[in-house]
Order: sequence, then C-alpha cells, then structure tokens
Amino acid sequence: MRILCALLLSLAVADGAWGQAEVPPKAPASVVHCRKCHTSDAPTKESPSLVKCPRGNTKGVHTAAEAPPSITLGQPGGNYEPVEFSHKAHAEMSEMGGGCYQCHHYDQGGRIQKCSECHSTERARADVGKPDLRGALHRLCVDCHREWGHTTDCTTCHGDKPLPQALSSRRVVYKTSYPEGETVTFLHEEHVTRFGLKCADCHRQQSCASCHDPKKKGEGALPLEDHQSCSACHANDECSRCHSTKVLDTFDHGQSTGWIHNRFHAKAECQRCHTTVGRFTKIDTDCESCHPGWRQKFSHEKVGFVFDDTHVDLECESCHADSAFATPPGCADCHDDRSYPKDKPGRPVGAAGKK
Amino acid sequence: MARLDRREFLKSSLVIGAGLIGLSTEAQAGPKNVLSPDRMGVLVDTTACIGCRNCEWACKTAHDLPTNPLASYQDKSVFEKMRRPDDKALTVVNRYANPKDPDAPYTVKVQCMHCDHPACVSVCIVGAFSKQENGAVVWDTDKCIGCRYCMVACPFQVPAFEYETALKPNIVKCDFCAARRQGGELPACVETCPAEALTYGPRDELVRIARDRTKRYPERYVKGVFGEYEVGGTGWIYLAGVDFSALQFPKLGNNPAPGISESIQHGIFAYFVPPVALYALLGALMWVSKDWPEGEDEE
Ligand code: SF4
Ligand code: SF4
Ligand code: SF4
Repeated sequence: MRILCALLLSLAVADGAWGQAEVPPKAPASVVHCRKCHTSDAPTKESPSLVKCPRGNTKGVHTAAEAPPSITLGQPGGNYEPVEFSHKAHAEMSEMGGGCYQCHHYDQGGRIQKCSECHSTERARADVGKPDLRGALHRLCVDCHREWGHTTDCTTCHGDKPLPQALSSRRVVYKTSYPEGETVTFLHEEHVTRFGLKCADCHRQQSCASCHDPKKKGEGALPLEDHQSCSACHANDECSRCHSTKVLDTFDHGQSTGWIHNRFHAKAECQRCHTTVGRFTKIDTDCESCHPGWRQKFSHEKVGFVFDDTHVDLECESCHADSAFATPPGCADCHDDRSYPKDKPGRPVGAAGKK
Repeated sequence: MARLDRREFLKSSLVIGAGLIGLSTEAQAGPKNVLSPDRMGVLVDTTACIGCRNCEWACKTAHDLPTNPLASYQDKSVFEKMRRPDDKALTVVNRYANPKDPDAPYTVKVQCMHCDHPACVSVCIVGAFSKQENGAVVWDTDKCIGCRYCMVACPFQVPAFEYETALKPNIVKCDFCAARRQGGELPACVETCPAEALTYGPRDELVRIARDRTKRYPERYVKGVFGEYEVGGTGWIYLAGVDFSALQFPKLGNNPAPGISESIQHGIFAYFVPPVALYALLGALMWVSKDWPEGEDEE
C-alpha cells in the first residue's frame, strides 16, 4: 500500500510539473540563402543583381518540346520498383491544362530548377516545413491520377501496367440553331489521324479527367458556341462544309472531294500528296502533277493486267474515259457486244491472275 | 457486434480483475514521465494521405506482427468497415467521404496519440506506462498486470489487450517506434509513407507548421489542428480538410483526460474504500465522460 501511495503521489507531482503547455511561436527553422535571389555575393541597393523571381508563372517560357522523353523516379531496392516517368508525354498533356507550371510550381523563367533543389531527398531532416522529394512527387502525381483514375493504387505507376490511353471519340455530333443545317458532325478521329492535329491544337484549359475519366467521357468535347476552334483551318469554307441536315459518317475522300482513292492511293499517307502543314489544300488531280512522265514509264502489268496484241498500243483514254482510272473501263466505244469485266482485252497476271 | 460486446464485457470484468490481482502486485514506483520541450511528434496531414495503407504494413513488419504481403494492402474493400487499432494492428487507416470531391475521399491513419498528459499513464496503478523524453508513451510489459484500466481511460480508445496470452497479460498499442528511434531510425510508418502525409519532427515545430499550413491554404484545410490543445495536447497532431467530427475524431475538452478519473482514483486509495464498487463507478464515469462517435467498430 505504501508503494502504491508513493506511486500515485509521484504521478500527481509529475502531472503538476507538466502544467498546461502553451506552444510558443518559433521563427522558421530554414534560412533562405542569399544566392537564392541574388546572382552576386555582394548585392547592393543600387545593384541588387536579382534573379528572376522564382515564384513567377513559367507558362509560355518553357515548352513541352524541351522536356526529356522520360526520367526515372525512385531508387531500385525499395518496396516498389522505380517509375519510368514519361516526362514529355506529360508535358504535352499539360499544354492542354496548366502548362509546365502545374508541376514546376516555383520554377523560374530561366534555368529549370530540379525538384530536389527545394525538396530534400532525406526524410529524416531538420526542415520539415515542406514535403521531402518522395512526398512532393507522390502528392503531385496522385492529385491528378486519383481525380480521373479513381484510384490511388501504387501499381498504377509502379509496375508494368499499360499506359492509360486518352478516351478519344470517333466523331462528335453537334446540334446547332443554323436553319439550313443544324447538324454538325465533327470527325474527331480523322482530324487526329489524317490531319495530324495535336490535342493541344484545339484543347486548352482542360482537366485530365475530361480525356481520361470514363465517367466524364464527352466532357472534353469543345463547345461549339463560336467557330474559333474550327475557323483556324476552315475560315474560307462554305457553311455547308460542316452544317448538314444529317449526321455524316467518317471522311470519304471520293464523296468530299470528288476524287476517289483507288487501292494504291488509299494506302498512301495524306501528307504524301498534301504537303501543306496543318491544313490540306486541294491539289491538282492530273496524274502528271505527282507522277511526271508516268505514261512513258508505266507498265500496265503493275495493276495486274497484260494486254493482248490488239490492245497493247492503245491510248489510255481509249478505254479509261476522261482519265478516270479508278472507274471500270468501258468497251462500248469500239465494241457493241463487249463489256468489262466480262470480256477482257488481255489476261490478268500476279495476284489478280490467280483469282 | 461481438467485438463491442467484448469491450462491454471487459468494462465489467475490470471490476473483478483489478480487484483480485491489481493490488497485490509488487509495483515499482517512479515511471519516467517526462514532458520534454524537445519531444518529438508526428503531423498527420489527412488531406495528403492517399489511403495506400503502406503505413499499416510497415508498422506490422517493424513490430514482427503477422502480415500479408504489401501488395495485398491495395485492397480497398477494408475501408467499407470502420476499424480501430488492436493487438493485431497497432495502426489502421479509415476512409471517410469528402463532401467537396467524392472522387478524393479522406483517409485517416489512427494510432496512439502519444498524449502530452496521457490518461493511460495516469490511471495505470502499477506505473507500467510512461511518457518518454522523446515523446513516446510506452509501457512495460513486465509491470503490466492486465487490469486494462488504460483501455477504459484512453480518450482515443487505443490500448488493446492480447487475448491470446491471457496468462501473461499484455497491453499493446503504437509505441511510436521507440526502439527504432533509439537506433536513429524514423518511425516505420513515417519512413514508408509515400506522400509524407506523416511528418516527423519536434512536436512544437510541427504545431507551428500545421498552423501555418491552415493559414496559407484555407481552401484546403479547416481551421484548427487536432491535438494542439485536446486533452492537454497530443504528440501526434492532425490536419483535416473537413470538420474533424466528420472524420470521427472524438470531441474532447482541452483538459487532460485523467483529470476526473485521477482524483477519484486517489480518493479510492486514500480512504481504502473496497475498490470493487468504486472501480465500477469509475469505469462508468470515464466511459460516459467521453464523447464517442456512433457506429465505431473495433477491428
Ligand atoms: S492516446 Fe491513449 S494510449 Fe495513447 S498516450 Fe493518449 S491516453 Fe495513452
Ligand atoms: S509510430 Fe511505429 S508503432 Fe506507431 S503506428 Fe507508426 S510504425 Fe506503428
Ligand atoms: S502510408 Fe501515408 S499515405 Fe499511405 S495510408 Fe498511411 S498515412 Fe496515408
């Protein structure tokens, strides 16, 4: 019992000694080094030799083009494998949102500061006012990734999961108040794949979720209130170029331009013929404009057909009226009782011959 | 529900248990209770926590508790139930809705708060508990008589009892990685936290940092730092983006929790009232003097 009393007494004394601690405000532990803001060791009032303020917005100063393709984050041997961070892809995506500034928050217009210049690589450290490098990076990544991916799973980045693809629409159908054609079909896929437009060419100030979040699919579509997004390329087009009474299907070269692609031209990259960047202009449909002197060099065998002796010396247009080489040739100009493809002026060869 | 019953049972059995064994133990007086001005603490920023539960894994690994592989902690279905720290897990992370953004729920790590004026220390009749200079509230297994008084007294419902070893009673809770820290290492959970939602540092410095953050980012944080004043201040302090009550933090006064219980306890022994009756009264009193959120489940 004596022991117990002594114990309780000692507790009471100890408790009294503790008192109610009021936390005294302390000066910040970190000291800013002069060199952080001044380029000289002895700045004066007249010549302060200041660097550009690191807290300025870097937007427009640096571009995604400067970004390294990829950087490795983390060290091997930890609980998780290091992450190969696709820096350039992220930089390009950031051009649709807040730019480099989204991550490089205190970066200056000049030299790009490494994250580790401010965020310590040591977790055990004296100045714990700002997160260490690992903390800062995870917060940056997770803040965006959780927003559209709805997960904070470590293996989203640590692991060999396939990269998330943007949810891109094949086409977007707009309903407008234009009386002569209230339907506008925007062929999204074509604009990306055929016309080579970059996402950031049209999409600005958008969230990651608008392209990556299945729940928000469609929210990334640009509003059609004004014509700005389209008029950069379509300024000189008739209204009917986009406004129609019905929903259009994917781009058809023959339907839209009157020049049908045959099996050779269908395989060619658009840029092979349309050399203007950004916008494709109408080009001369005369074969000579792209294939000078082709008549002399051309062997009909290339298209899988060899002429017999009676036809071998004929002019192309004798059968292919108006040089419309994509349409079936006619026989009726010379023959009343012959027609193509039932009757042939020679024999098929190659793949065509085997059929 | 069975587990709640267990706690109920425990409360009543305290009466008998403590009465039988508690008073006959050879207790060593003089636990090393220190409230050092340089004591360490942890700032838990619940707005930075991503709910990865790596801390749970690290804590178990560091304390040789059985655990599934780290990869299994990605299973988010555990969040469907509210959990409390227990003898199998000294720390747990719970999830709460974020009214500002349903896609970014808040996750809150729970463990012993390492109170500046710990109720567990005050009520432990054999002096098994102590607050160390480094800020950790630890207990001495050899002294513990298994009375479970600390379990009832703790305003955060932290100490757990190892039921498997009933013959050699043992209380378990987060020990602030006292052993690791003596060896110069960080607490295991702090070291592993990917987002550094757990910042380890001098407690007073952390309070300053936390206050500063709420001032600089008023859109991110609600006012106030939980644990700055609650029950006389805690070593682990919290920042939150919604009212702390929405994250099931108990509403507690600024007076150290042992206040009421301690004086009664001293009274018991001063007049040597048969402890059985008063013990029951005391347990009941402490139970009702706490303000617990509804729907708490212990597992
Ligand atoms: S939280 Fe509970 S167990 Fe931890 S120090 Fe405070 S009173 Fe003791
Ligand atoms: S400080 Fe140590 S014992 Fe406490 S929760 Fe963290 S890892 Fe577990
Ligand atoms: S390790 Fe950190 S981020 Fe992950 S659940 Fe624990 S406290 Fe939250």
